[in-house]
Amino acid sequence: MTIESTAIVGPGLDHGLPGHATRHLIHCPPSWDHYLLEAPSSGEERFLLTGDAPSTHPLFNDGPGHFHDPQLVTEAVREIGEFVGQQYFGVPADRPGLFYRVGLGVTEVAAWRAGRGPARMTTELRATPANTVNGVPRGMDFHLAVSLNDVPCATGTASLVFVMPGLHRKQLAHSRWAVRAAPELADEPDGPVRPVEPGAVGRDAAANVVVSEPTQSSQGRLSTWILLHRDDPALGATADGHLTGTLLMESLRQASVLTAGRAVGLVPERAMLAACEVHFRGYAEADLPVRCATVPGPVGRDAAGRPTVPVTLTLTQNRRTVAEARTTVVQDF
Amino acid sequence: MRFRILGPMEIEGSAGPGVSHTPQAAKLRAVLGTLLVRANQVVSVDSLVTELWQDEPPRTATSTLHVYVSQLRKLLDTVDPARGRELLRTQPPGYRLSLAPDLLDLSVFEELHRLGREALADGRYHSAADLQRRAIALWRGPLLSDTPHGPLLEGAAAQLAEAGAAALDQRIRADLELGRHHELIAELRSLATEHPLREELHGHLMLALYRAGRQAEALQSFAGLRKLLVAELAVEPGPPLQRLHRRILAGDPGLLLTAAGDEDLAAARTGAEAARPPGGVAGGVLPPADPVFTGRDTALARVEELLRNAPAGSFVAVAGQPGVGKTALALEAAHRSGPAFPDGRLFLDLQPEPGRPLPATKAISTLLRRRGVRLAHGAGAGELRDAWQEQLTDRQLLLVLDNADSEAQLRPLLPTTAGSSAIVTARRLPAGLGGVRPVLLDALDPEEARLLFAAAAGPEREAAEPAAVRELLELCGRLPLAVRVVAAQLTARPHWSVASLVDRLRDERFRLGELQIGELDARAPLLRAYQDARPELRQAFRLLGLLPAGPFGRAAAGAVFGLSPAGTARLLDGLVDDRLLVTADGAGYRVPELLRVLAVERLTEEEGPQDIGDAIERLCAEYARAAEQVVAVLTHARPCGDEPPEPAGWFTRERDALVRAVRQAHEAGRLEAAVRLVAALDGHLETHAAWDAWAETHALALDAARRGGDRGAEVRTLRSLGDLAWQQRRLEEAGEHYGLARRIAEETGHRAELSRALVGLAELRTDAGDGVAAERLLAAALAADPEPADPRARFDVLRALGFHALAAGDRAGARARFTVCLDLARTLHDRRLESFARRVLRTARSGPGHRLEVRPGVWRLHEPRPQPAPAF
Repeated sequence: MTIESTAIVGPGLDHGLPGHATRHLIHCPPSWDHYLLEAPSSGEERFLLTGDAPSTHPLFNDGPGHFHDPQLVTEAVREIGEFVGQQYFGVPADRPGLFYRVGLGVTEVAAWRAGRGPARMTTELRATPANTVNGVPRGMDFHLAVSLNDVPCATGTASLVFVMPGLHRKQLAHSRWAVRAAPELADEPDGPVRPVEPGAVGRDAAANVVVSEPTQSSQGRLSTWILLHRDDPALGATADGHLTGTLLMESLRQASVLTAGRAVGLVPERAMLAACEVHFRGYAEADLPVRCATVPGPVGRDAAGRPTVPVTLTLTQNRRTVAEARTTVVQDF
Repeated sequence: MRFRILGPMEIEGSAGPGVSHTPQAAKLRAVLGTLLVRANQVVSVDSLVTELWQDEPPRTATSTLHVYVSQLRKLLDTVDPARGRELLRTQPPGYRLSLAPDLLDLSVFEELHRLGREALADGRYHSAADLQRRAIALWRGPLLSDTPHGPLLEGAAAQLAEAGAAALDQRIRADLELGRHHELIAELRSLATEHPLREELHGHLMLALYRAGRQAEALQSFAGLRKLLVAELAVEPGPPLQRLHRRILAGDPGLLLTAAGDEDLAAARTGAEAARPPGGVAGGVLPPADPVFTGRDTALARVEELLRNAPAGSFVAVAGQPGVGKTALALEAAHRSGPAFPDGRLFLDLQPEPGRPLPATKAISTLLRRRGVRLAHGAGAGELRDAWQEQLTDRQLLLVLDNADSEAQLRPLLPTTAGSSAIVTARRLPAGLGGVRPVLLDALDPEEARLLFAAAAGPEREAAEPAAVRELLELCGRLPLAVRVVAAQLTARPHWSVASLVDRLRDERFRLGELQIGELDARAPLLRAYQDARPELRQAFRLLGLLPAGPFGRAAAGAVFGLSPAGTARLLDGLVDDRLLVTADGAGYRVPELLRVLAVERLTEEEGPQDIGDAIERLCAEYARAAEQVVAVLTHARPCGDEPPEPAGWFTRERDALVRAVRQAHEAGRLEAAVRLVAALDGHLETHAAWDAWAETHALALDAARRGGDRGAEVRTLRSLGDLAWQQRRLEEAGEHYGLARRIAEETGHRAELSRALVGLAELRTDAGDGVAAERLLAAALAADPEPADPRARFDVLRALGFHALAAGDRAGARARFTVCLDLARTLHDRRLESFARRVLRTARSGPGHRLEVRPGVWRLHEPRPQPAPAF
């Protein structure tokens, strides 16, 4: 792993998730020694994050409301990953933690159906330091196990890298230079882009639509553009001029649902991501358009007979890959 | 009168074979066929109805069945007017058809097949081949081929088809042993073509070709099968066939040995042989190696090495728990070691009937007879011993002495001079004999067990349900005998899935009963080993059934035994010697899985509830002591010398055992023991956020406290359940528990617990943004436990007050309270609380963020609105 090739989703908002009720993050030390002495851990540490899933979140609760949004898990991990590294593994506070790989697989679709009243979401995180130099980890790997109302329903992994401040600055500068270095590779929409209908991506509010009306090529392949909402801290840009992690993840979700709907007719309001594996390869500059190309795979069925569609997605900016993802969209009635 | 069902149904009456009495009506044939397949057993009315109509019986099913039975009685009367009517009797819950075995071809087949199998195992190949040939000749087609099959007949047909195939297989084996490979080749080619996926047939064909000097064709046969398996199933041939392939490739002369000894062997085995001159080379008087033997590479290599470098008077003793595959290993090693023992290899079962070991003199007579030595009738023991040792002197002979019972039995049989050696299998190591070279067998490792299963049940079973197979093998304790049983069950019942068998075996109460098919029975040898042990060891073994699966230490064993450490050690050593227990990695012990299931069964059957309850109580007390010691080491940094090893991992290691002990104590009505253990576990459960264990143990403790009238324990348990619900953010539930704890503590005057319950309630109000109510509750908590206060309860009040001050922006007030917390933690000698107090003091100095560690290890994320209330 080289720093240049990694990146590149910053940590969550520092004031917690809007719409979230208070949650508990519980540290369950496997050995008390370093905990008691307040020395950084060098092995696996276990945490539980628990509390009610949000019911008024402007993005994750926008839509027909048939399911809890699995993105809550990745958001939560992004929210606390950096904190865990700094609090329990001795990572200096000036090193931002950037997620470069996230994977989540829904193991029990029925548990994600939203019922009446709040649902209690518990995520078990097993954190392991990676690439430790002089006792300080340069990265962290997380193994996740999610349950909703005590029903185990998803597992996943996430990896983040802690970047030293000087290197981070160089990396940002290099990214800005690299994406503009070859004008002949410029890639932008031919004309004005129009957002898709919210219903086509499983949302209600137009303000939450982050993909444009796509162009279609052969065999269900779509090409769409990511729409930036500069006035929305979640779906806009970071202070240093990059698309937020939430925007990138939501765009991958919307593009997946859109593709599954257009290619094989899955109903967007009943569709959710049953699996996703995302690898971020570079920063997405906020002032350049980001293209999302999607390729649907053959329709399959999960163990319960629900139709599923695998989708491969690539986010590019001036033909440079920003992220690659494989998702599986499932339709559940 | 004769009944034939191995093919279309045929009934021959007293009139002779010319007159058929077979019923014309299909349903009538189905009823009769079912009764014949289950001859001399009661077949229930329900089974017959299901057999006839499956899931859709007509409304009049029972009365229609009565009509059929009545018609059958008339038919039987016609077949045999003298006593035919009496054959079919009504016997609740159904009917029973009584038939002498020789009147039914199925019974005759089973008897011939059984005798043939025994003859084969005993090396009587002529008899084996003849008996199996006669058994196979009874088959005229598939079972009841003209009769509609319901589930019972279908199952029987599958099982008998396998038995038929086994008879054919054994006949071929016997013929191969008799050197009839030339005659067999054509038949085997035809069979291999007819059953292209039956690997054992291909194996026989390869062996026959090899022995006939057609090595290239043997290899070609393997290549053809491999190609087919890869193309059809994407699997390689099983380990036995691959091993045979390698041996053929290597030109292994061991594959030819049996053929070389045909004449001698045939003569020796038909009973008509003349005495062979002493010193003549005996043939391979060795049962065939287990065709599905797999794994055990290390043990095999060890045995072979020990045999190669055996000094005079030494022998290899293979020991291990019942069913672990000692005989199979010994035979495999003996077959592999053929070239090292050119004067022959002899096999003798020293305990052919369970519980009746052969006397040494009888064993020597048998061995001498097998060597072709005839002694005068009435020869004395000394004479026999001399004659036997003379046979061994200056020869290279290998003895395989199976199921040795005692050192006295073995001593005169073992070679004392160089050249000859022996492999002895025994449950107990004959350690008192000089020259013993032990090889101890444990259960198979997971990969070996998987390979054995694939070899015995077929690779397609393993490939179709790999996860279920893994669980199945664990349920069998990876014991080779049990693996063979489940493989045989799946082979006999092809309509069973592995998952369905796993479902049957999951319930420990029925597992050993389920692990039986035909003569394969996993339970019998385990039970025999248990019954052979001394009474005090049997009782100790039963009591170990109280411990959960997995390793345990001497302290836990001592607790259930109720003995001193020295007495416990003696019993544990005895159980290890008797192979009822194995030593685990480290200093612990483990009861092998199926033996553990047997221990649970025997405990229920043989121990009284009082003794069981006492043992549970002692176990709970021991666990509580260990839990407190671990806390003393970890929290107070006060090691006491006899705490459990690696105390930091103790709770994680023992969690399931602890929960089980609480459950057992509760079930046995040992309420105080349950309550005390749960109290000792409180801190561990909280620190590890072991929610499931926390909820279960405390629910049981609450019930125990209430039933036992222990109000103090009731309050403490309710408060702890409140803490659990608070940690999980089940706030309503937390409020109920804290509220109830508060009420009872007020009634009973438990000041410290009242204070802690009030703190819990205050934190819930803080969470809800009601600072005023929280402040009121904290004031009450402070007042509830006045000086001299319980330091732990006081710590909680001041902690909560500190956070309350912090929320109100009173950092100086927060610092003051957290400083007192630090002092209290030091008073308590609690390093965990102390480090927490230091951290929150830092937070008070730097100011709170949106994440606050509000209890040790518990962070509150996204603080609610700042409370307008002034700091307390």
